[in-house]
Amino acid sequence: MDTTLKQENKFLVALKKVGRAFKNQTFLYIVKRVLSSLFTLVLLVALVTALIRLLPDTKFYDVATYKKIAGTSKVMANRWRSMQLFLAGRADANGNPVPVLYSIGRYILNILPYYKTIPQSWTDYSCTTVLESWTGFVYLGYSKSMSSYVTNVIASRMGISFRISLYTIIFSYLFAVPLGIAMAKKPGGTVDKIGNVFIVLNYAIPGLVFYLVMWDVLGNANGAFGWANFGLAYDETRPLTLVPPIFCIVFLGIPGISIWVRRFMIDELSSDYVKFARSKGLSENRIMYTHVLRNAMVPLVRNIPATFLGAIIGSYYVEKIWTIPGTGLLLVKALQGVTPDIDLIEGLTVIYAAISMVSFLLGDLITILFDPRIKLESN
Amino acid sequence: MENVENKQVLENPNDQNLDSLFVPVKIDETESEHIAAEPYSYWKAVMRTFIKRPAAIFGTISFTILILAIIIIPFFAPEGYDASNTALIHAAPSAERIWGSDLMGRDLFFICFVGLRKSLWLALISSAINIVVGTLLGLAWGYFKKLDRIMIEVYNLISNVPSLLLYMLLAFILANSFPEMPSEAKLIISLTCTGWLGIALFVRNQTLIITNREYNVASITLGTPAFRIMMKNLLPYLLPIIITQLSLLIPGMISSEVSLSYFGVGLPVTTVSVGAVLNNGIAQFTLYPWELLWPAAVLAFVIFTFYLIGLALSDAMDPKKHR
Repeated sequence: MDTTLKQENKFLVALKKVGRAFKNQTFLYIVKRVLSSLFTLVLLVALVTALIRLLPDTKFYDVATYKKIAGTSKVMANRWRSMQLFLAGRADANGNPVPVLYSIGRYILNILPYYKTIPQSWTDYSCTTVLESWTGFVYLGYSKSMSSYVTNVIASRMGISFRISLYTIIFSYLFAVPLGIAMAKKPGGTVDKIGNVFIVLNYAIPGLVFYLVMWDVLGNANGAFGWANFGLAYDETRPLTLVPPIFCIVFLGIPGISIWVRRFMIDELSSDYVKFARSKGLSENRIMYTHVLRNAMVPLVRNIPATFLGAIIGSYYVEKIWTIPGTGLLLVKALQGVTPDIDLIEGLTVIYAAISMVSFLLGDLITILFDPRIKLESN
Repeated sequence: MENVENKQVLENPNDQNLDSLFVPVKIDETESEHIAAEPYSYWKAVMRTFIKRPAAIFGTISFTILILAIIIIPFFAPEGYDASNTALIHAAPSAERIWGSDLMGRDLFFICFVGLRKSLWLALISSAINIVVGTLLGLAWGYFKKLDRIMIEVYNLISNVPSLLLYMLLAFILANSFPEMPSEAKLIISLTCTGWLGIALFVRNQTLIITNREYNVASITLGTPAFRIMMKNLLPYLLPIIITQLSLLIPGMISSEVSLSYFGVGLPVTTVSVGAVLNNGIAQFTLYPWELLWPAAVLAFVIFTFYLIGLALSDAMDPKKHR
């Protein structure tokens, strides 16, 4: 008798906890945001699928090859073409075109997170390579140009991009925040003037040109500045070779952070609590680092999750110029290959969109943690 | 003793003896209507603040140099400077061709400045379209609360579609549907098809901040039509921020032209424009570095100029700094 009562009580307590969670504004807000993000994701899939459908069929098979086969046999050529279109998901196995709504619906079912099995299929024209059946929660498709599942392609390339970006973020903030603080200490002073000149000149450098010049100076033995070659071309086994690309991104990224640190700090410096702290006799440094910086960081902190998660996307120019096998190259490769790799394009779009939505949500949540004055409301 | 007397005088202000101490002031109608303080004119104050900024001085000087360069230099262009010349392909800088030749044997110096003229025009037109469309839609987006949900969804959607996919599609659709359309018009369409979104979001955020101010609430209460409120109440308030955005958008558009060319969806490689010339240079950089460095220097100078002007404008147009 006693034990059942206790169990009931436990159950009631758990029920109450759930009820309280549902009354919690922050929790409701998160649930609402996640649901609306899922809705946006579904719409995005529909839009991207429809956009890709606007590309003509001729983009998905080599017209020259078609004509070559048609020279010997028209039937063979047509069969070859319908097979290519089948592999691109534009026609079914019999050569009949697939409706757009059908492909959209199938893709949405594939990305919705529930346990499913994708049956095995052929990946090439002659039906020799079998694609094993796939089981899991989110199926993003099979990349033909990489001959692998999209999730595997991204997972195998994410590591290096993420590592570079992690160092980049750490070093950018390490240099840019102190620079911004130093500039804000005396607006119009010597440090502020030098910093402003640096920022303006830095902004004027075209990024692509800067990367190319740095590559030729530091990494390319056969380049324009081969005599000044440091032999730092990217090499998997030597971590030191990551220094030049990281330096490039950090150098060009500093102004974007410093300028905001400076501005937010100057905005805070004119507020009442700073005047109060000053009149109470607090030292300038104490005011700067314990009072002003904490308030000025609130709008900056909001961007940190976006920067971290954006790191997975990688940087196209840097990876291209330094030949780093990261994720930054994937989208352009998928779009500009001989035939566009549809599954890879759609998979990357979905992943990038999901990343940006999650990071905005995390940014909002971190802002609440940092600033108790801000409250989220589910309405 | 004197103190006591004074006290008595103060306590009796109606004392008849005091009248003789005062001289009545002559009333002058014209004098009393005169306002000694200088009337505040917003744009005059902007000018006054603007010319005091060092950034503005440097910016104006380099802007003048830039405009003079793109007007005057093309006049001195020799015959056939932009025709391909097999004898002069990749010629190094010399007295005859001070910046050398590019991969088609064209004179790099004149090509850079003639190309800059075209690129600046294209950037100006596409920035203007982006700003006008973005501002109008942003005002409506911020003002009508019911539009907000739909527009946020549209923004989330379009900003998440890879821009390269959009550009490729646009390039394809335009090439098929309008074969006779000049490539410059195609470029402007590419640059403006999604460019207004960012500005619209920016204007929407600013509008949300000011719509609940008293003067707007008063206008709404008095039954002013929405369009009039947007044009007469909101737009003048937003104008300074929008002008600053414009000056920062122009170099951004030139950079976009460069990256569009880089991905092969911009102007054709034979066109004389900064993007096309720079991208030819990128391909030749390792062997013929001047073919990249000179156009890059021109591009850097343009970005520098507009950034300085934008910086000075954003300070000068802030009414809080007009004291």
